[in-house]
Amino acid sequence: MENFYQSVFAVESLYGKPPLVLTPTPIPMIAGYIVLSLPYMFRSVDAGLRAIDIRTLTEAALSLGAGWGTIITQVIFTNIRVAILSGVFLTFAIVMGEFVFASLLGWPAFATYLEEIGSMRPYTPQALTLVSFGITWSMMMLIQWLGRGAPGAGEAAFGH
Amino acid sequence: MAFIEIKNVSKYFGKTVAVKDFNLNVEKGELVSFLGPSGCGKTTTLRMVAGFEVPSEGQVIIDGKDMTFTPPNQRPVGMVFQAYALFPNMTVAGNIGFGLKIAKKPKEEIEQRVKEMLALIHMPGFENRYPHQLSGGQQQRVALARALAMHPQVLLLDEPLSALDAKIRVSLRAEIRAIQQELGITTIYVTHDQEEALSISDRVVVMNNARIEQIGTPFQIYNFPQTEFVAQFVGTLNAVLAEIADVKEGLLCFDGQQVHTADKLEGYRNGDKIMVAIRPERLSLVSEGRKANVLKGTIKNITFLGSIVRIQVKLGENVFYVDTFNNPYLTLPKVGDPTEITCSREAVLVLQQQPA
Repeated sequence: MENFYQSVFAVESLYGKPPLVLTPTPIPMIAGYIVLSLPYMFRSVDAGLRAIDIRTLTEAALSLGAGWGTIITQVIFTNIRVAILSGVFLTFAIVMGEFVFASLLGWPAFATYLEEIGSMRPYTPQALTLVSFGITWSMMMLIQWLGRGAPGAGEAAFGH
Repeated sequence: MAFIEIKNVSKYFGKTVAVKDFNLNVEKGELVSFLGPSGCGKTTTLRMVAGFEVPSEGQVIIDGKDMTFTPPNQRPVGMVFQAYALFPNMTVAGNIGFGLKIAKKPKEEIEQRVKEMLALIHMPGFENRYPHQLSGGQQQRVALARALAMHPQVLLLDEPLSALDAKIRVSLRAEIRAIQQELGITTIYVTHDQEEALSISDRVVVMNNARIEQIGTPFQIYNFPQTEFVAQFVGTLNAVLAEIADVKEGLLCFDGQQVHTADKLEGYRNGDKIMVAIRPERLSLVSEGRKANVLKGTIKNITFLGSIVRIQVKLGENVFYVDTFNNPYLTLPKVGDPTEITCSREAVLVLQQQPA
């Protein structure tokens, strides 16, 4: 029970004061977001790389005279662009909803802004939430649009 | 001087020997097949010619230039892969023109060459299709066109037909051979399918356990196999361990049967044991009056294979295959019937023993 009260006082003392500005730049917050979202980005890109035979495609490009720069930009990146975009979207969604880093480090972010506005105006956060839904849907549509013509999309094989 | 010279090439992966003492000269315009079971080193050798692997020992010379350490993108080589390896994000035209675009050829020239290549592979009008919109056979033809669009001096094909069904394999291999002959391009073709190798090659290199077993024309490889492995691997074979009864007469014994060979038994003595082989199509059921090279046994099984009928004859401990052409009026013996089979002396091949 004593521990519980200590926790309550700790939280109260943390949030009861203006946030402690630990750093004059947002770089630590960005670094925190990178660490937080890295597994999601990694899994997306990894799944994309596994879906195509990167080794054979690279060798095919090499045998056609391509250099490494061309292979990376025109063969590898273009074939995993949907996976990269999915990772980007996941990262964006996570960062948009992230509260702890921004709150602790005292830098403005969407979630902290919602919280701050909500304490003063009850209806504005609802509007902002709807806006965030809109942004999310727009992102999904953008990914669909950018991923058009990707392997597996469109018509099925025909002929012999 | 040969167009491609592979000199004393060996490749080791750690302690594993992938290729050992590989020597081969390929003449300009020749199609040479590497034939062998999985893991025999044929693809590794091809990859060393392509530049994807560096030999542990030896040299790869193309058109008089030592290419042993030249990167793959600087070799005059086009390659076709088993898994097609078409770029999924590009159209057929984009795939075929990829190498030309890298070489910074003018747009008009690329378009012209793409059209020529599509005509060559009998796929005009497919420029704007994506690989996933094509069948396996079409994809491999596009991969071939892509490799040829750069006008390489050497074409390398790594089991290009393995992923296709039997009928398309037969038609596409004929197409590949026709294109190769039309362009006169020096080609190395890797396959584990002996029928494929025999049907399209000028010469066949049979490999086993990282080494070359035999190099020869398809006719030589099939009819005069030099080793037991080649005889067993290429075509169906009746192989048996026989004892030499008379070196001068070429008389051999096994399972109480006697057979003569026309091969010289130089270096052998009476009583030595040797491996002999007879192709099933060179054996026949005995017609009356035949006395020489007659083997006695019983019919074990009869299998209908379409154009031929394969009869299994039990000769003591051994079972021999006898192939006979099918015809609607063929009278076949019954399973369990006693029978006699025969062949000419020339059909009895003496095989070299495998090195220990």
